[in-house]
Amino acid sequence: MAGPQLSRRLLLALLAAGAFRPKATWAATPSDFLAAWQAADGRYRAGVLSAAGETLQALDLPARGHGMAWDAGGRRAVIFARRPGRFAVVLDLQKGLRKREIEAAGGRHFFGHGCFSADGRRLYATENDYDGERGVIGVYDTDDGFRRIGELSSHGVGPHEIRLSADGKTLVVANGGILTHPEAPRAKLNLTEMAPSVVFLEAGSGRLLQQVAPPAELHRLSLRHLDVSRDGQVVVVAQWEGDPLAQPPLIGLTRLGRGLHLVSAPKAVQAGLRNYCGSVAFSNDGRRFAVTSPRGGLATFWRNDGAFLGAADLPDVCAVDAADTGFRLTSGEGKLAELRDGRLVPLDLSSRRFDNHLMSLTV
Amino acid sequence: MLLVRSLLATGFAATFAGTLLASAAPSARAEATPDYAQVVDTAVSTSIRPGYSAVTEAFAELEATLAARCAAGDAPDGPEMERAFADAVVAWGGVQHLRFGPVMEDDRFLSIFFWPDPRNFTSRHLSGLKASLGDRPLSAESLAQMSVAVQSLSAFERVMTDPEQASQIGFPRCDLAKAIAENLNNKIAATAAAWQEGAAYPLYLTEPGPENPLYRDDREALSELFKALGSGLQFLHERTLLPVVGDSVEDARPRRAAFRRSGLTMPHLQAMVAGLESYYLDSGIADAVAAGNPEIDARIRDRFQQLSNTLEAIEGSFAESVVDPDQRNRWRYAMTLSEVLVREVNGGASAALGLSRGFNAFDGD
Repeated sequence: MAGPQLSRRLLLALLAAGAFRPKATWAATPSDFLAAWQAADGRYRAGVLSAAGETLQALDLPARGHGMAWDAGGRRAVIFARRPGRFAVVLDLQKGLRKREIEAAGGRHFFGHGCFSADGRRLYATENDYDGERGVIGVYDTDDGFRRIGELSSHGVGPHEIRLSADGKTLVVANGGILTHPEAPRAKLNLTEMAPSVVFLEAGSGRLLQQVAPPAELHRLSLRHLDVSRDGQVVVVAQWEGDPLAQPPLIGLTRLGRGLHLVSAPKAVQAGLRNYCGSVAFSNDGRRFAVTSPRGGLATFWRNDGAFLGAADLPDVCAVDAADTGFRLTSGEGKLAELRDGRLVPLDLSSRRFDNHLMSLTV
Repeated sequence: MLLVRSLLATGFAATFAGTLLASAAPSARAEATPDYAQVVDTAVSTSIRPGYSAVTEAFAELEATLAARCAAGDAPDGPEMERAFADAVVAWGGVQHLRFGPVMEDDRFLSIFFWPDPRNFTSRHLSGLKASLGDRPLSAESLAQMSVAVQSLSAFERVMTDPEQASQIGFPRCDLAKAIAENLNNKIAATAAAWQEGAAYPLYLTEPGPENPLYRDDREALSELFKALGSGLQFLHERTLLPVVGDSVEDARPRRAAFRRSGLTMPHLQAMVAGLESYYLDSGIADAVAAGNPEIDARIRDRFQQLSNTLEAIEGSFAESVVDPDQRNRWRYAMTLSEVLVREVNGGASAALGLSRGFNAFDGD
């Protein structure tokens, strides 16, 4: 689900009130979404697409993009570099222009995800303090040119996806647990000592409110991606770094005040996930969630109590988010589809190689 | 590229067949589908099994040479040891691209080859080994429970080439070297055994199906083998050459090179290239690529040849050559060739085989 909640009605009301004063003719409409992709000519791009897959805004990225965030006012979006990248690009959603580029601080690189505070004045980004061998959450002042004003500990190694909980005060972070260093790009340095976790942090102070982790025998379950529902339920999905023949559960449910409840799909579907989940999103109402496996070319659908509902094949599918009608999915082979009433509906096929994540602009 | 696995996928195929054929997306549908099962069989029997046999022999020889020296009261170093270690490193270089299957179980790969090591875990964890072991005696078995950094070829190299550091670890140098060598031997022997005929893993590759936990069909099995070629080349280019050789003399970082202490960086590098080349040629992958697209196969063969020749022509030690302006052109050319090979294997060769290397599927994001 896309970061801050802004209903279509509220957006329209605000627009009517002139709250945004868009200077250009275009403004995000409720069914548009943010995406990152590689174009047919090899360029890495990101921007806003319509529900039907038309490019509404796009800009070039210095290298491959990954996750994205947008602010509560619908004014700005940020596209993060894929790890271990050092850039994040701020897009002015109303003018459709590159607003600025944020460069990672010295001794830090981005892990590829971030989120805005409820009031849009802060941007939080998961980052690697690689010499300190610890994860941090970089804090940026969006009113002051996205200046980096501090950092919070992620209380783990390899923080990946971060979301602001529906209460607007709590950050939820998946610490993948894998130690990496930019001098050895993408090499995993500590598989034997992995300690993944999901942490709940007080956004203002960084105070650790809760930390949950898989049981010791599943310490190689790298928890990477997560989503938070409207009522504060958290779903986190993993990539297994242990014995390739094992079939551990890859999906966890938790919330503040609760432990981590791991769930598996029926055996054949679980095998189809190939021990690698790429993205996860709750439906708008928070009653269901979708989990993708690019390695298995599989999108799976679940009830929020962890009951498995179904699966659909879509080669190299990864990006997923809620859409008005259910879930929106994209694949590395250029497909855009929606899941409506448990049925996969193809919407577009283009030469874009869609990257791992997308984010609906209004949900 | 379109593996139609369900009605949903069929829906896509029907709806978008026209768009797809007109688009620039790589498609091998025009060519006959290669016999994936045949290529998998050939790769396992003529490339992978012999490769692991060679490493098993070399590691056993290293252990035997070491045992003889230690029994005679000699230190674990000197020309004989260096020769045996060089053979072990070169044999390993020849299979290093095989980063799937049994070698990934029980941390075998990382236990044998822990590199790159920018945080110097090897040195740090060796220094802390006695404390980590606590009351347990030092042995191959107890070492196997420790950090992978103290088990690897690089840890052995450290003990062999640096008597001063080795003496500070707190064990007789011979005991330490023997524990590492025996553990390396155990790891590679277990890997080789798991590849033998009748063992589980090769059966997973050769008998795919809905009940198979790893591979649903022959195409998926071959994708696994083929991916190792592209990933191996990528490792060669992005991790082995770029960060060490660098774009210029100023960017060269020879101290980061694998096996620099034993002076084996260059033989190891050449063994990696030779291993990748023979994996391409002997596994049946080359023939299958040629059947689909003879030009791309010819180009790949040619690049491999040029890459070997270029490395062969580089003069002086590795560390000297990367900062020697007269040798930089050769290094630059080697890096260009490795980069082009990555592109041609993941692009043209992949398409010729009717495999699509997933954009989102290949490394942990």
